[in-house]
Amino acid sequence: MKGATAIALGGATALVGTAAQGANATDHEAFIALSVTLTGLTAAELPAMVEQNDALGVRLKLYEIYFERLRSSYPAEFRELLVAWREVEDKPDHELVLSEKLAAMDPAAERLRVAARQVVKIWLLSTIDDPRTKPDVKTGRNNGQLGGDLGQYQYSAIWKLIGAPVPGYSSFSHGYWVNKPGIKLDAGAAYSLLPISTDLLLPDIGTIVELPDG
Amino acid sequence: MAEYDMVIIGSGVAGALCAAGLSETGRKILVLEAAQNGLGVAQREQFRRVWDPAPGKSWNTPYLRTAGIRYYPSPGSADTRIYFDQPDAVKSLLTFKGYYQRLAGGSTWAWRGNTPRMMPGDFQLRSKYLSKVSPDDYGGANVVDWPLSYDDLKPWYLKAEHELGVSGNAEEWEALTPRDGAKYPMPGQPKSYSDLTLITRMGAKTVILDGEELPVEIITMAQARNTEAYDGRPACEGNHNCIPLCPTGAKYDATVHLKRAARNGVEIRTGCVVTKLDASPDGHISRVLYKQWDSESPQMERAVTGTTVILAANPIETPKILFNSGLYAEDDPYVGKHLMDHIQGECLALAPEAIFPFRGPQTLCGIDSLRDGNYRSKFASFRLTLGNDGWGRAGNPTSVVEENLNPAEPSTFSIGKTLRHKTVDKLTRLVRFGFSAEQLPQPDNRVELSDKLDDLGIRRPKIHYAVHKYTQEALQQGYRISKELFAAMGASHVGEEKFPLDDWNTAAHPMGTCRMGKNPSDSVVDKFGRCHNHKNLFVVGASVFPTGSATNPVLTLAALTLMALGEMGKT
Ligand SMILES: Cc1cc2nc3c(=O)[nH]c(=O)nc-3n(C[C@H](O)[C@H](O)[C@H](O)COP(=O)(O)OP(=O)(O)OC[C@H]3O[C@@H](n4cnc5c(N)ncnc54)[C@H](O)[C@@H]3O)c2cc1C
Ligand code: SF4
Repeated sequence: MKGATAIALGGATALVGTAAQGANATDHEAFIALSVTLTGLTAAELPAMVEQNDALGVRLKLYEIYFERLRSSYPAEFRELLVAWREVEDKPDHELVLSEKLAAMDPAAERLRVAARQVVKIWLLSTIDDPRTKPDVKTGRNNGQLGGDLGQYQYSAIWKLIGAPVPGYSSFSHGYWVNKPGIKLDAGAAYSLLPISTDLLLPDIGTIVELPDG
Repeated sequence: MAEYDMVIIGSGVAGALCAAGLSETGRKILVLEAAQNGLGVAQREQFRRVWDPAPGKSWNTPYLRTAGIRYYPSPGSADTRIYFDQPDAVKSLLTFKGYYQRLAGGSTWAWRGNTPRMMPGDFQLRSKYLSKVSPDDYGGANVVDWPLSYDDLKPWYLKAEHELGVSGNAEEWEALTPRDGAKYPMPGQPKSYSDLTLITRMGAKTVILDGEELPVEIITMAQARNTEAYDGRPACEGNHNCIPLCPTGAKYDATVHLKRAARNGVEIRTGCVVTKLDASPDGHISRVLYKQWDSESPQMERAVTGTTVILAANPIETPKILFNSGLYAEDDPYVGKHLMDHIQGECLALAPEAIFPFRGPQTLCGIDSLRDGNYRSKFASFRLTLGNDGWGRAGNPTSVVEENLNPAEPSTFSIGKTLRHKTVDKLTRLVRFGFSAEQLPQPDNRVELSDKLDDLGIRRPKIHYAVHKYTQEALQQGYRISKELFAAMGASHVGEEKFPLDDWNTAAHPMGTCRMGKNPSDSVVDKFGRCHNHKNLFVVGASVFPTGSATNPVLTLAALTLMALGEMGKT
């Protein structure tokens, strides 16, 4: 395993970004290492190994789901970012080198930034910019947003970094808020595997027939 | 013989309290509710499943996929003009921004749960503060005293606190809203680490309001949020999601009383949008007409009869039904008039150290010690909230991550440790004061019927509205005081010198439109909500408030409703 993370996935030869052929383990390893570098999360903090069922009941890891999501939403930009990562991953100062690449002023760097933004957002917030909408001319931000599948929001890593529960998913007890959170600001606690809803299909709310349950 | 002893229109907290309270007397009761959602844990889970994957999590996100929603539209937060017809809303200060959600259980599914009482002076705004001031000085508002005093309502406040399950520290509130030593049903919420740090940093503080020195006391909000198991619901676990949806039910919502009513045999007929009331020549309400949108013929008007009819449809929908019925003309000087809200502003700052907001309920503390004072002859009463939710709408994890990923200068685009440090540093230091000001009852702030129809062919609400100087000045005072308090706390204010008035926001507290009073010539209902012109018709909810104070309305509307139950039974 190269780069910043120690998560080993085992696997095959690298086939970076060949969407038609599907991702292999090396692409996934690169994606995880790239994610760690971009987000500033440690490998242990990245909820990469969380498992969810897809619509057909196949058990997948979050890094597989997110990789697929980014590749299908931003095929060109994401591929270019993975290639750029491959060029720097072995360098001891890969974060700095990648950061310089991303801060360049040419159109290629802008495309890398678009992809980098999505990688950071998907891990920190579980959302990505909608590729069909154009960024706002004034702010440069994309107002079109796409949420994750049901159950992914609770792994939005930003909350853990600031010592807060993901809204709606407190696993603490009454009154925990009196105390200062037990986190170090620059290295949050490792991700615990919370119980997660594995049902990715959203039932139609219109069909609910329910008696008051007292 | 009427089919039902009581027909209740609407099942928000006002309607639900009537349904539950009256059900204990063995009467035959029907609730007609426009929406069609469940009341129990399965429904709560369904709402959570709609909200969880939504990218933007707004106050009404969980509720936007409820069955048949196009038949009973509600104002959304994105643009309140989509449902409301607001021909004058060309400027922020001329736009009614209030909203609510039509649901079985009403807006309490989404509310924040804050439940302070009104202060004694709030009941006598006119005689105490405005009797010597010309109405021209406060925008021509039609200000009247309430037809009852704080002392009259005091026992009902206590009862309401027990019904809703309010937690609070009696000693913090005794001087502001006298309780005769009565405790709250539950002890107050513990203050958060962020509140405690800021309170300690601030120390003892007073401020000057129109020459009068008033103490600043940051106290725990009285709130309908459990601090221990109460009424079959758990203690709050600090899910930090009270708006829009408490996942556990630790926060009170009106399903509590609807379920109680249903257990006592009340019929809750959902999917029924009331269109109008028929009255006989003597004013007796003879029939309630409604459309059942989930039936084979949703446009067909159906009728039901009740000995007593209770309108609990909220301050916008209630006058809409009254006008549509032809019971009052649209130019009636009281029905539909004096629409009020609480007008909010925010003041933002960065604390000098990490204070860790976003832990626990979204707000826990506030300043109520400035709500009453002689300044009210010049500008409006206001209260402040110390947010526990960062900068609220203006600054939260999503917005700060976005800000850092979209720098104005692309060459400063940062990643990795730098990005993480920047993001965490800002998010853990966010602090805000929200201030919420009274709005006077202006005859021109009003609800009428639009020519535009909804999907059931019902005329939509047309609203004329303005925020006047009396309230605007209170927002400036709230902003000034917030800045002073931040300075005392060592926090650095972020924002403009004066409050940008166009940035005002709604508290989503619609009030007024069917004011109560002693005299039929200057009010719509009496203090029990009984219509002067229609003796078997009651109006409940914040519609009946003659003035709005700066107090979150639910506890007061609940107390009034509980007080009225005995009177309703006499009809
Ligand atoms: C985000 C948010 C936060 C809030 N926070 C607070 C707070 O902290 N403290 C506080 O005191 N207040 C708060 N409020 C305000 C508070 O929630 C409302 O004032 C209160 O819930 C109103 O109750 P109600 O029963 O009078 O009306 P509603 O809750 O509006 O209920 C009206 C009912 O009537 C039904 N209805 C309407 N029209 C018809 C019709 N034609 N036919 C049949 N049924 C009809 C509706 O479906 C609904 O069930 C908040 C509101 C919001 C939206
Ligand atoms: S903080 Fe959480 S548990 Fe407590 S009331 Fe709010 S949403 Fe419910």
